[in-house]
Amino acid sequence: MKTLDPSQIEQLTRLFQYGASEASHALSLWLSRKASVSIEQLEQLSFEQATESLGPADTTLCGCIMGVTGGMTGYMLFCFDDASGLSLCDLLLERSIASEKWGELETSSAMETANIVGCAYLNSLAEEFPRVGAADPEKIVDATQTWVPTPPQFIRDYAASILEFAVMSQATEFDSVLVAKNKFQIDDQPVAWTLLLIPDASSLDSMRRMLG
Amino acid sequence: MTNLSIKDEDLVAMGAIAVRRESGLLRTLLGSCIGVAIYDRRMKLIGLAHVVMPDSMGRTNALGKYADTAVPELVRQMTKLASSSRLELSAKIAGGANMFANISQNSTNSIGDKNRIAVEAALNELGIPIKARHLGGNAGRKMVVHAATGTIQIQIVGQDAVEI
Repeated sequence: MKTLDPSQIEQLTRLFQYGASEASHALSLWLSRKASVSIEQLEQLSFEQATESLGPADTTLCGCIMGVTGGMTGYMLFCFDDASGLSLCDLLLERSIASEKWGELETSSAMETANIVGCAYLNSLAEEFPRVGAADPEKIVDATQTWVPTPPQFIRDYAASILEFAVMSQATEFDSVLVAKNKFQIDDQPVAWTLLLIPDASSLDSMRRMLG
Repeated sequence: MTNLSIKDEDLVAMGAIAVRRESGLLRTLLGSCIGVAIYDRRMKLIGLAHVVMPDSMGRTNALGKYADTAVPELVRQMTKLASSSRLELSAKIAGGANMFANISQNSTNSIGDKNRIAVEAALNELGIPIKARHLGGNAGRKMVVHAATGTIQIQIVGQDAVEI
């Protein structure tokens, strides 16, 4: 099974920008303030590079991971360090004093945010992907199915351990991993939250065929 | 843990293999993958493989990625490093966590078990006894192997490190 060439990566980046745009809109509504999600990089990385997408391997990070089912399968990861994740919760919970630890309310807030951003992103991708292959029915990614994230699961663990799980589904077939990394801004200020989309091996192959 | 400079330690990435002799340490971060540490305490010789998949299915690239190729390759590299000395090897293994049971929609979570079985078979085939295991659970692990002592430390986020 082959990986994607530079032209296919470029096409895919444009498609993912639609997803990021919809996610921006959803996040703005959810937070009731100006928010943006944008694609920072879409690259095929070695395992070593992929497991360091979120920083040094033994950095402790928090993440909300969602499986993606339907037309595309794989994983979405909404990740942040403790301080950045808790600041998101403080925004949502309108707290004036910064939270210092993760409790039920905080993890719930993070997971709900992941759900909202993830659904918006995937809905947009599900609309845009079939258009790419429309001229050639054999190239179409299954457009009859919606793309739906599973309920998120919250985790606090080593960055490399979290990433390892998500890239494992490509590792079965490839020696490199496609990772779409998105960055965030709130009120025009960058925040240290990251959204990763990692299609599994079969979806990656479908994308490759669709993009020609 | 001893405070070491960067050159005294190697981070063993996913699917990679590393060996060391006399001093320093090897370190890897594990989720559902298996870390295979093989050592000869007498010679202060250690090797570490970060096994991703159980079976190479005949593939000859990325030897460290598969249990059936990683273990023989690790032993080959250790034998080369030891030059003519006869090795007395033992192994310790860690990892194989089931980290996201609620959201896994494929066989990703069962890969940990398959890796463990394949690693144990590969070690058994080479007659290398497994002296300790730190496997399963639902959290990632940091695995650190010390060349001078052959000791292995396992750290889970939020818990004290343990020696196996």
